[in-house]
Amino acid sequence: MSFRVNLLLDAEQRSPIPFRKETIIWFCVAVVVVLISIVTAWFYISQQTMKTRLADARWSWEQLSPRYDEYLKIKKELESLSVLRNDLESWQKSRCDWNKQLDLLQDAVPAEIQLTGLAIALNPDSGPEVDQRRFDLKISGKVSGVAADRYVQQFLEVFTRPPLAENISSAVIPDGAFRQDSAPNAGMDARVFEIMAQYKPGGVR
Amino acid sequence: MKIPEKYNTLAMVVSAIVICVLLVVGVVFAVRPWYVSRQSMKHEHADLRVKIDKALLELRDEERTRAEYDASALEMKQLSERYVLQPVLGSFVLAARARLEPLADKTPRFEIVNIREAPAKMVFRGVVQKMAADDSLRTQKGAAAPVTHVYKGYSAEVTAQGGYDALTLFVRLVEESNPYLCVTGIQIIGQPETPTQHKLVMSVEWPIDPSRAPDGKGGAGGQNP
Repeated sequence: MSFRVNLLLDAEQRSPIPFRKETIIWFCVAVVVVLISIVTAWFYISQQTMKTRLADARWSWEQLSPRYDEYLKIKKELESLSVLRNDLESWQKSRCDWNKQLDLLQDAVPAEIQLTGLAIALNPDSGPEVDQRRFDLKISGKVSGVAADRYVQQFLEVFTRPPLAENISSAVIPDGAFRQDSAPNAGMDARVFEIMAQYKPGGVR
Repeated sequence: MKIPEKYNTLAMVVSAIVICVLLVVGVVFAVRPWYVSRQSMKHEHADLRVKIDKALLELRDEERTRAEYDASALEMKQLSERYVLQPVLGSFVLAARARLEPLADKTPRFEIVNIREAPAKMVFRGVVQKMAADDSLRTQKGAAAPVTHVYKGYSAEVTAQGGYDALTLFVRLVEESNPYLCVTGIQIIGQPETPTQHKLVMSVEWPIDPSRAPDGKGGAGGQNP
């Protein structure tokens, strides 16, 4: 039989760990407190820094924004002016130089033919925009002689050749438009005729 | 976990736990809102920086844009005063007369019989109609965008007498007087009793600014091409 005799009092017992338990606990608490203090300080400092930077940015924007707003206003006005300019240009592009067409028509009429009327009018099917303007031309005339039909045919062919053909898309004598002149003083070989022509859409040059 | 038997040790552990819990609670309830506020400031700062950088970048063109604007405004003012029909005493017919009669005086053997508003169709271009209600159309991008029709058309009908050459000359003078107007109709009617004198009925259309129209609609006689 063997005995193990422990003669140490509880208070005299020592741990094999070199530090006391209390020391370790307080050390851990201190570490946590220090860490949290560091984090809090970092937050505070960065918060203050951010506040300063934000205040600087706000001040910069306050200084800059009136000038920038003025600039944007001018830019907007410039765009409006550009819209106006473009619209005027569309008017210019779609306009028709009728004086040249009238000169060309005058030169194109054979000596044997006498024009009695000329009408240029907007085609009713023209689109609503200025660049979709389309014009119709109606020419009325008189001719006499045995070769009257040939003269009229020659006149009609003028519309299929440059320079008139550059702007005219089609020209026809409608059915029944070449006929006997019914005027009281007209001779037997007197004829009247009409030519209907269509100008190409857009400006006539 | 073994509970320490000594009272001091027990009190110490409990205190440590309480302190840690209090710290965690403090972090959650104090630092977190602080962090949220900091994030909000950070975003605001970033947004401001973006705005400032953008503004500074755009303002590099300020001088050029101002010069362009001044030139463009002056040009449009001159074009508008010179070529866009402005009402005289609130009447576009008077304005049309004021522009056409001097040209007729320059045309030999040519006489204007009458100038009146063309038969009123009063058809606005769609976009212009919209603009009358909403001025924001003026701010549309001009360069890249399709042409926005701002100007409305006003047509006057001219009745005159003269030889073919005089009529042609008058048409030329009218067309040369304004690059933006359009002669939208010409009718030359031969007169058997005076073979050298013809009757001319001509429609002339000018651009007008709808906002200058006396009735806000461009006056009577506006005609859509």
